[in-house]
Amino acid sequence: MNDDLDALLSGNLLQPPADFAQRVMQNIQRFPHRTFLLTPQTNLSSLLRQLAAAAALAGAGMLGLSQLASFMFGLWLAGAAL
Amino acid sequence: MSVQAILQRIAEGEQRAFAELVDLYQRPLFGFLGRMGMAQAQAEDIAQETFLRTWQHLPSFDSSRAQFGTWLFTIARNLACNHLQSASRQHETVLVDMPERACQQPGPAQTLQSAEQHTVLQAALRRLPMADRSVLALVYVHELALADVARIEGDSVAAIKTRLYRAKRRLRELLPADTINTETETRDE
Repeated sequence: MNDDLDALLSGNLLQPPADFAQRVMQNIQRFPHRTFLLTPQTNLSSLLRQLAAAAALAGAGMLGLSQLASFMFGLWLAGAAL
Repeated sequence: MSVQAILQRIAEGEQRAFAELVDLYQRPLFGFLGRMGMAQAQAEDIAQETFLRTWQHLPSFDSSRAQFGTWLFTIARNLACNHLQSASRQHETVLVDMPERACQQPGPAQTLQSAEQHTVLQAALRRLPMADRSVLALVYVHELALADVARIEGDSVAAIKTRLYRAKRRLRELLPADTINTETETRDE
């Protein structure tokens, strides 16, 4: 992405005014602050996804093994019939 | 200090810590709004509203679902798109605001030349479709990874890459030929 257009787009087209943060802080005074419980950063949904992926992998593995076993059994059956 | 630590202090009741979040994100936010083609006054209003909404909804922010920056820029993007769309419906001529765009501080010739380039760039950005503008504006926010942009835009990373490529091609077509070359000279000096 290193071309002239990238350099142009990466530049600061607009700058915040020097007192911007102060103005924001004045504005938020209108809304009462209350303490709250911050959601822990441990990603529960990602943990569930990982567990689901592991279960799917195990299930697919077992299915594959049973297919292999039935193929082997078929071969043995055909061999025994001859 | 990490964003998570600042959020923790706010959650515990330290209202002043929010100023640190504003300090952290105000520059990238104004850069984003500039790339959305907004004039300085419009950008200030939208940035104020973004932080105000962030403050109001902070108790419902779920850090296990998204990073704070992604959440903040989702709010900013929605506000900016709504504002620009309603402005275009009212046939508002945004170009009237053009001269007050970027940094207005007096400086050397190079700064003025760069300011002129920014004006030309913003004029071209304003002519892009909103979807192109939005993806271009977000991708150049250094605080956001491509996956974050994809999440904000509700698209896949691959789709964002394609949209970015097309948006840049369209933007190149809209820019006067010497704009990019002059930038090269400026950077080489």
